[in-house]
Amino acid sequence: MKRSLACLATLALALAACADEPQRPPLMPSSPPVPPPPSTAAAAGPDPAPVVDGDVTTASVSGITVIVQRVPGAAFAAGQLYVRGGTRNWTAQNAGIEQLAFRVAATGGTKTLEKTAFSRRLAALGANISGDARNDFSGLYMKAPVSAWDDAFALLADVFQQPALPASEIEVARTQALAQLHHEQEDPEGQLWTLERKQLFTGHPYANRPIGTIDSMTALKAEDLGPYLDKLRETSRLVFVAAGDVDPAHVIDQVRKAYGSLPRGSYADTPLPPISFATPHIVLQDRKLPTNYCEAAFPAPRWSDPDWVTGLVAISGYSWRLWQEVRTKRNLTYAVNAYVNQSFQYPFGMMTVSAVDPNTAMHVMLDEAKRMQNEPMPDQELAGFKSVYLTGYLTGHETPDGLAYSLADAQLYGGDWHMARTLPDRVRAVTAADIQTFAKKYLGHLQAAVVGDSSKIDQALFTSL
Amino acid sequence: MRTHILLSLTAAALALPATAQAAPVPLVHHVCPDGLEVVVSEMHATPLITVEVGVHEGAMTEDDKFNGLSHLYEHMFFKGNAAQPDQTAYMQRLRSLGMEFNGTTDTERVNYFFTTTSDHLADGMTFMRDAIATPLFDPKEFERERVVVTGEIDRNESEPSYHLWHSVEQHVFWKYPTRKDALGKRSSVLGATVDMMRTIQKRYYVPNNSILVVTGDVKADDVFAMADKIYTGWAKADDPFKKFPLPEHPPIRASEVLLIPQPVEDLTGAMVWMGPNSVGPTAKDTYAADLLSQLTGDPGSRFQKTLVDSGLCVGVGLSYSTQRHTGNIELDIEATPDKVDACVAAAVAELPKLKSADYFADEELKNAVHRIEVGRALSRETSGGRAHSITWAWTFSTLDYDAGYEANLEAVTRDGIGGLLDRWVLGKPFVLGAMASQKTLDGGLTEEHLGKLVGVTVKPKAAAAKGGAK
Repeated sequence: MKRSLACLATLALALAACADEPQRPPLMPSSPPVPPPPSTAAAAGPDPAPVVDGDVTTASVSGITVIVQRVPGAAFAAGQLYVRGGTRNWTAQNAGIEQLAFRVAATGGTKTLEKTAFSRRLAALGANISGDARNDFSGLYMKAPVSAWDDAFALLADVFQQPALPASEIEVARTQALAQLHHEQEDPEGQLWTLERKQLFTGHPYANRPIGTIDSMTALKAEDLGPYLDKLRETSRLVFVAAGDVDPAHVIDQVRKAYGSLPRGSYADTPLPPISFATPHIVLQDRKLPTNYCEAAFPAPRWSDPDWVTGLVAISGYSWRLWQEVRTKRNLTYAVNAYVNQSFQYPFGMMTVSAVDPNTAMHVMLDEAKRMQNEPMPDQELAGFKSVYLTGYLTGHETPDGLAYSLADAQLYGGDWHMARTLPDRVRAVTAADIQTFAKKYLGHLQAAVVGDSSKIDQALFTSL
Repeated sequence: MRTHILLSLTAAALALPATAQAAPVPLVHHVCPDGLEVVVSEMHATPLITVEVGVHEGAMTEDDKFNGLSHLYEHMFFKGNAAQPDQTAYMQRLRSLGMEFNGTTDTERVNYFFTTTSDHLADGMTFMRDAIATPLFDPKEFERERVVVTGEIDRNESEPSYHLWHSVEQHVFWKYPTRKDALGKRSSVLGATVDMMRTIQKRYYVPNNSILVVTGDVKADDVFAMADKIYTGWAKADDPFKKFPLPEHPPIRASEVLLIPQPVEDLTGAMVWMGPNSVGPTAKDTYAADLLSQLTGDPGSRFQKTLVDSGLCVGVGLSYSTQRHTGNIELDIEATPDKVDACVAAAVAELPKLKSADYFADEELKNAVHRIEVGRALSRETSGGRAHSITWAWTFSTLDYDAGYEANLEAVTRDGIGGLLDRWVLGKPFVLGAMASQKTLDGGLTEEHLGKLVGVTVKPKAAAAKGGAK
């Protein structure tokens, strides 16, 4: 229990992760119309030669998309194996199985190294391996000192290919996942996100969360995990991303040897239905708290939409303005924010505030949304927002794992890793007119949620935009 | 004065082939004429810089009346100053410099930091100088910010874990609880005045009680020259800790057990002992404490196997919090309601066993050292992370402590771990706080019952629930 207290509230700069999504660095935008990911159901045949594009080398290895960024001089290197599908892979009944399988695979040892030996080996290397499931894909994430790359890669390969999945470790992970689900309902932010999810995703595959539910997690059988993972081992699902001072040709060769003999399969992402924002709506949960936790979701462009980058800049600017107007000028809150939730192939915007007087706070927030719709943003202000956004871009790329996440997100969400590179130029190109057009198109259709004193909430106000 | 010291950035060097990055990274150190320490760490891979100031201040300086005011001051740092008339102007300037920014307040440090592109070095240094040395404390801005800070208190009080943490700390530091409570009290925050801000400023916000750290794509000589020029005029003052010495925390009076009802499913417990200081004769135990935390946290350790893999506890961790003035040693546990007794009893029973010669294998000891060293290197991979780690070391310990950390860590033996446990944990008074649901309490969990599990006699309360815990 080490609490480092009392941080000044941050401007989240339109970047945020929600309860289901592990904290990740800033994600990259897309460029206009994007071709489908190259690994989709790749036809069998000789692999094409790797393509070198600046410091990034890409290859297709037996259907696996491999992306390697060389970072000369970096002390650490990151290797990330992604398995596509996410919510397409599971149902309401077995939701949670993929997350449990990936987590236990990463912690429970392998068929050649039982848990303790595996843990000691990792420690001796100074390496970390973790696993997680997300809404659209799952991943195994490795980071190691560059001098330990080969050994750490071999462990990562075994984690995916031949995890031990001991029953005892499955029970530990299940218990901890259930505890996590309980904690979520104890924390007001967690409750709020649960409410929001419910109204956004009812009837949508995203309703089946990677972490599952108390019921689905309780019902999972340990013996189901192995066969479940077996089905995911097909090269057409896989994307491997590495960043660090590692030789790309060597990494590509390692991927070939580790995973190249897996069946290719015929996986292709099936398009998910869009999230519905038809009519403004609000859900409330009464809870006696010192303040009220409020949020409202609104539509956002997809990675492949032309106004994606405009959206990132616009919502970043909107967040700054909320901070200024709601917190600084009117002291209505400590925490107000707006961001684009980029952890879905169908992203959406969010505005959030905790306030003793939620109606006044929300009123100001909506007025600011309308100001963005009705008035062009002054050039100097826009230049400032863009400048801060670009600093955030750089801070997200300071580490090899940050670079790898960025390339992976661009590839997996947008279909093209280059999107991670074109962001700065595309941010610089955003105009005040673009922002205003974006605001008119997207800032509305609010899907609001509140945890707190529901008798205080002016529901008409919260659904007025 | 300019000296070179070695920052412990032995990035993954141990037991690994030497690489260009494995050598300790030099930290370059300079002292300005008015006593401001300046430390630079050059990192040229990304065109970013972080400019950070750490002030040796925080809850440790706060009595009842000032409780939470270091934190309120931190908020006021981001408002008007001699160069920026109000917060609107301040924010405009921040944006024009492309700055990410924040500040934190803790028990022994308040730090402020700006990260931006390296072409803004001089502007960033100047912006920091204006904010740290010339705050206006405009009464209207101040009045509004007091309310904002109570909004932060509201959010903390909305989280069950805050109540556990707060209750335990109040009992561990029973005589001076405010000096470990950076968030503070609503009443003291709302009762704060501009004069009180000025008092804090005059005492602690002086160059000889602060450190300026610049990391990233810079040249040390440029930074030092700028610091000498830009920070001249920020007036030196008496050493605040000689003029206003901090009271020493007396030991925990006697072991205590607290039960804190909260709307939670599992029981979460924190068993806290007063631990060693990072400065002074007890500092040697801090390395053993860190090593023990790492050893017991390893998923393959006997500690985790006995308590978690066995199914007794949902999670368990042993930790030490580095402080100059009494760092806690803490055993954290989480148990499902049906396993509270088994988890708590097993966790407490495991503590003396940690002294056994065969509890940790040689390989585990070596790996734990390596894990800590790699962890330190990872925390310093970014310009911001590195700057934070330097101000943290300077305030919570010393830069010398940090420079010698790895050598001292590697020198820890099993006897050192045993000595740590004997001196601070085994048989020593502690506070056990446990947060549980009303349903669990209604099922018979009482302070008296918990006390029995951990060897503490608790007088039964009049309204104590009947029966024993499950």
